[in-house]
Amino acid sequence: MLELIQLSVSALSMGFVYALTGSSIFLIFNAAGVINFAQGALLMLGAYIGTTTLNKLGLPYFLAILLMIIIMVIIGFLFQRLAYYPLRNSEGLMFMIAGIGILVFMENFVQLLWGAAPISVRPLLSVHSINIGDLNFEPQSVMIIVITVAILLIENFFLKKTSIGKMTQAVAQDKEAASLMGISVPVMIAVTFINSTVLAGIAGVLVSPKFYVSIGLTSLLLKGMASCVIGGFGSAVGPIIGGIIVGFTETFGARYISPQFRDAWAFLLMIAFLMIRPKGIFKERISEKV
Amino acid sequence: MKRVLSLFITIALLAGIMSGCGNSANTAGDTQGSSSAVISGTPSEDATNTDGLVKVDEFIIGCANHITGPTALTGVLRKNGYELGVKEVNEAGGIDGLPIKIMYEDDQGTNTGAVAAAQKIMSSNKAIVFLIDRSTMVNAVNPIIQENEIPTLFGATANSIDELNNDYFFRMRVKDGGNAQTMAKYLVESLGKKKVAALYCADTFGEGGNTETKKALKENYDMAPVTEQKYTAGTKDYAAQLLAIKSADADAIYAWGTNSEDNAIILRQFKELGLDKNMAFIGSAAYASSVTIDLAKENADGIYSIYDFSPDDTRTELQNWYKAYKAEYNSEPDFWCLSTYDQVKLVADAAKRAGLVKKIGNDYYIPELKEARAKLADALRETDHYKGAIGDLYPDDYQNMVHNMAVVQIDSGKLRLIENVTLDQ
Repeated sequence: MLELIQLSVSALSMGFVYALTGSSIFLIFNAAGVINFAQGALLMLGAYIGTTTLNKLGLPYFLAILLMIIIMVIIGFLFQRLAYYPLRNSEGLMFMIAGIGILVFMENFVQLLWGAAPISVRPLLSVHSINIGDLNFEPQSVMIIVITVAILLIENFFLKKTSIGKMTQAVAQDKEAASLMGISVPVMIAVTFINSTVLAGIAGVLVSPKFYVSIGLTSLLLKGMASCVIGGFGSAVGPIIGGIIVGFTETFGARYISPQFRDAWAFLLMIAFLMIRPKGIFKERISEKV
Repeated sequence: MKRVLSLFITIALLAGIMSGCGNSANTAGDTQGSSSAVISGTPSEDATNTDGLVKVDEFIIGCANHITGPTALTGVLRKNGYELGVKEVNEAGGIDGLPIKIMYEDDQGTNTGAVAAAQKIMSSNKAIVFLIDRSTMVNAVNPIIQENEIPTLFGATANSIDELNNDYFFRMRVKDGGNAQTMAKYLVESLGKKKVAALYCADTFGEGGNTETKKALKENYDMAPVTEQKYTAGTKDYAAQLLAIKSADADAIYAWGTNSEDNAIILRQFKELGLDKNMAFIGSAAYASSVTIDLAKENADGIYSIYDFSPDDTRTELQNWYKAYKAEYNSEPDFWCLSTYDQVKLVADAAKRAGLVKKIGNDYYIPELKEARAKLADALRETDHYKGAIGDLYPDDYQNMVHNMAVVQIDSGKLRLIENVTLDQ
């Protein structure tokens, strides 16, 4: 029983990381209809920037994160302007290829700036372990769960309760109608890209103390995509539920079936969804596409 | 008749002139084709200089190193060791006056890259010896080494390399079998552990290390691991494996893995999940590398490792290297840097013993490439207790040159020597 609880906490923390990554992918797909293959690179870049604000500048934790967010806002705008905007009228494949190119470029760029060595980051909690009776939990796993829930609630508030958030949703639902309503579609897509980039950066900083910062962080992109496929692109809740499912599948698959194929379990599930229910758990509403 | 004789003499003269030109052309072509670095300028016109010798400016060592790719950091550490060796050899006068130089090619951390790098080095016809690392890469370049008959030094530790029976391979670290024996012995005899668990990476190194450790436990102590947990390199979370080990009620973990990030995460989770309260942890060399310790920080404390050296070792050669490295690079050296340093130093020593370099006037000459490689290989095979920084070097039946390692424990980020171990020969 104790082991089940410990495994579940670990699974949930991984699931929320994937949920954040998946949500950032979902936002862009929903608004612009394209998959951003550079999302992993943005997550990695956020983590590297976090190492500078946290380790090098020695700022208080939340101030360091705020500075990272500000930098990611600028990067998100530049990314949208330089990578997406010139290709906005091209086929989605063009932007996907551009994303792959940016991913490769970023992996080498960060090594040029920060070096090839992986970097450890100052965690928020300096405790060694969280002990509750005979249970031992990783502090950063607990932090990931708590902070991700908070971030997702803030994100939900932004999208549902603010005028800008509602406008981005309107653009995501129907660009033409939104434009006719006086909403600037390019501006709202830019806002979406910025939002997505910030989410990716936060995900990167959250996992940094757990995984250390290196170019290997870009691999989280695949789990984020799996989260979107399983959860579906029909609702913002989709990637979140999908991410949690991925986290539990791989953790429990590794524990009780085969530890070596930990990553495989989640992708097998994704393939199963693609074959049986390709639109995911929260499928897109068909009426919107007519 | 006169016309026939004249014609014959003319043809003979022409034939003589043509063959002389052909020889000169072949000689020049060979030298230029061989290497513009091995041969600088034209061959000497002195008859003794062209008698199987070629003029050189430097003694070229070819090296496939990780310059780019996911293992680029290891490449930096290896190069530090190589270059420190080069610097010391050249400051001491090179090889009988001839300076040495390493010609690097990028293997990108992959087998394909290693093969391409090796082929490029061989086709340049400059390198008299070849340096490479990683067991999987050594396997990959084996046919190239055989074909070119070039002595090759490496730090790869997989036991299976012995089975390639390559006369040109010279291993410069203890192979996994020896490390596994030491690991098993220390766990059982020194730490008194009876329920050991295996945690290893699902690659050649990890699989091989686990196989050898299991074999050592079985043969010497009639023990088997209570559970075996493996993982793919780059996995970000090891809670499943560690909790399985906890569930198996193990009292020790032996671990085989080369990726510093993976190792650091494992050590952190080992502590955070509370496994360190009742379990010892002994890892392969990478667990005690400077990169792993830098990442894991206090989570590495208390961990044991079978390592190539300890700074506590008072041997003169090791201390000289250790201090020279720190002075040169202002950082703590790693096992990657130790083997590569000794590789260069041993090559220089063997080349001197083989009498490869001859100075004629102000110029240096070495034998033709094939002969130079053969002589160097013979000299390496005849190495008789060369005092390297890594230890006493001499070849066994498979030309494994190193026969000692250290059991260390990490204490406040430093490697504390528990015991030096010399393998039985």
